[in-house]
Amino acid sequence: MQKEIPLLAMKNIHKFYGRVHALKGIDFDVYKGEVVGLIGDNGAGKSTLIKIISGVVPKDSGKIFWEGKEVEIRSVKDARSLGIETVFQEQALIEIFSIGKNAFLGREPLKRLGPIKVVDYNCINNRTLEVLRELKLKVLPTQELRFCSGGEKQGVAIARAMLFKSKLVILDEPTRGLSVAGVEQVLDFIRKLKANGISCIFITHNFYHVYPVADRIVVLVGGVKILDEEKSKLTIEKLENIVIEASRKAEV
Amino acid sequence: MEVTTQKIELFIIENICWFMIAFFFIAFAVAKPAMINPDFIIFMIYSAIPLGFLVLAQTIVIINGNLDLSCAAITGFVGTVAGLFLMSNRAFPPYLSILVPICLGIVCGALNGFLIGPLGFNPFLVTLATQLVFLGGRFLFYKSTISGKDLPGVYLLLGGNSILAIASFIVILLSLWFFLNHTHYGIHLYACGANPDTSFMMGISLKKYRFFAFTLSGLFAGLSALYYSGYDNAVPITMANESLFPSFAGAVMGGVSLGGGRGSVVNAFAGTLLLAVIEGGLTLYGISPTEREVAYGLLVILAIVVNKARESVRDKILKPKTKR
Repeated sequence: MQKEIPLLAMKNIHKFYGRVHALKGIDFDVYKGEVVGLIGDNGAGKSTLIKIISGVVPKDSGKIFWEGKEVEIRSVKDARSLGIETVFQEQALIEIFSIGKNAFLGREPLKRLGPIKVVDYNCINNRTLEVLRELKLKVLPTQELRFCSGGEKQGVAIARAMLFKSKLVILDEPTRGLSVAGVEQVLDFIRKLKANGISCIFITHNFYHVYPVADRIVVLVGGVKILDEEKSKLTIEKLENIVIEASRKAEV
Repeated sequence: MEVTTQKIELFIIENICWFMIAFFFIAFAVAKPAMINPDFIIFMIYSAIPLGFLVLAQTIVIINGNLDLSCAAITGFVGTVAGLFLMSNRAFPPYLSILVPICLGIVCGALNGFLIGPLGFNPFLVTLATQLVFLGGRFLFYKSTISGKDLPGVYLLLGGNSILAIASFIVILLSLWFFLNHTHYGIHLYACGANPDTSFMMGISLKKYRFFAFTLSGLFAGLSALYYSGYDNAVPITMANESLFPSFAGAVMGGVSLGGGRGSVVNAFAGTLLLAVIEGGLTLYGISPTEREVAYGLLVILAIVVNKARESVRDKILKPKTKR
């Protein structure tokens, strides 16, 4: 697996917020169809790293390669046109819009009506329904989003990635604040994405959530990468020790 | 069909304003049968049209998550400037004259939009400032009433004929509704009001849509000036002077949420009609304009209460019944 060209390769990425050195030369790769668990405490730099990938904030130095070619990601649109879909911590969903409208927000399918182009609601609802069924969600596309559970909301955000044939999905704390059943649901969504050949970056500070689905685990502490290992070579106890040890050191 | 009753309930609750119009109309008509005269009904609707455009101007901006304190001042300013222009350029093609207030309105709205969208200034402060500029600005151009005799006949025709005014208003209203609900511009305009952060994250430009909403609102303020001119058969020096409060009142009574992202322009017009019915009724009862103000104030409070109740009933209807 390591010999092929990574889908995403980041080399020596630095980011400053004023005087704060948030990322101190991070190298980070994601391969096709791989689920990477990105673990770190609050302020470890994991959110900054994914914001750079998804085009929300610019990097200060370093290089990004996409399928082997160097790219600049200056906006969310740039990231999307590469095939990067981000499920933000704040979920990027509109509570009072329908599920279907949320799934297609900003990329509504159009159809011709005489001289003008109008939004094709039939297409929105039918295609959203297909993906919701594939994710085993029993909600209707016309229902308002605010009536969904936390797990279902994550499902709607993930549905976007499947609708638009993304190559890489970034999930920022997708299990935070969810019930046990909700967490299981989200892990199932990730397995579904992987089965579709879509790579995932799963960001969390709870390694018990990421361990069951990850192929590889990366740990950030204080803006530095301290671990990058295939899961098959890690037991959950070993991972726990590394994370606790590192965060203790970081505090001192 | 099991969902039928649910759909009927939802329809009633979402269009409650129309039922309130019927309720107040009947309540007035019971004591004053003069209300039922068709001419009086048409006149009541007709007299609501110029304000109706202003309510639409306000509603567009509210849906976008902002507010516009200057829309009524734009109407007065545009009315005066357009009137003055047409009065002093008699050779101007009459059929193009109706475009003058529309274009002026767009320019005024775009000024607000530029300050609030691309420059990111606070909408309350910007429109407060531009309100003063437009209110006083009209007097820099012309200091008295412009008579209808000095304006082209075509210019006054749309607003001056009740049937034409009502019919053209309905066409414009439905076009606006279609635009806001069935084009991606409209959906994005709503999205910015419903959740600006999310819209931004999904690649919808807030700057662009704020600019756009205020510009579109300016267009409607311009239309309002055109219809006021026709309705009054003149450009009075006080045109739309007291229309700012009703522009909010109409929108709120029509169920447009001041939080943004929610509400229908058609219902906002229902709010305007409700104002007109109450005004017509109170006039028949011989209540003076100053005393009517009290009724309008109470009416807005009633609208807030009704909207709160409406929201919670609507939630109860929409909430999926079976817990998964």
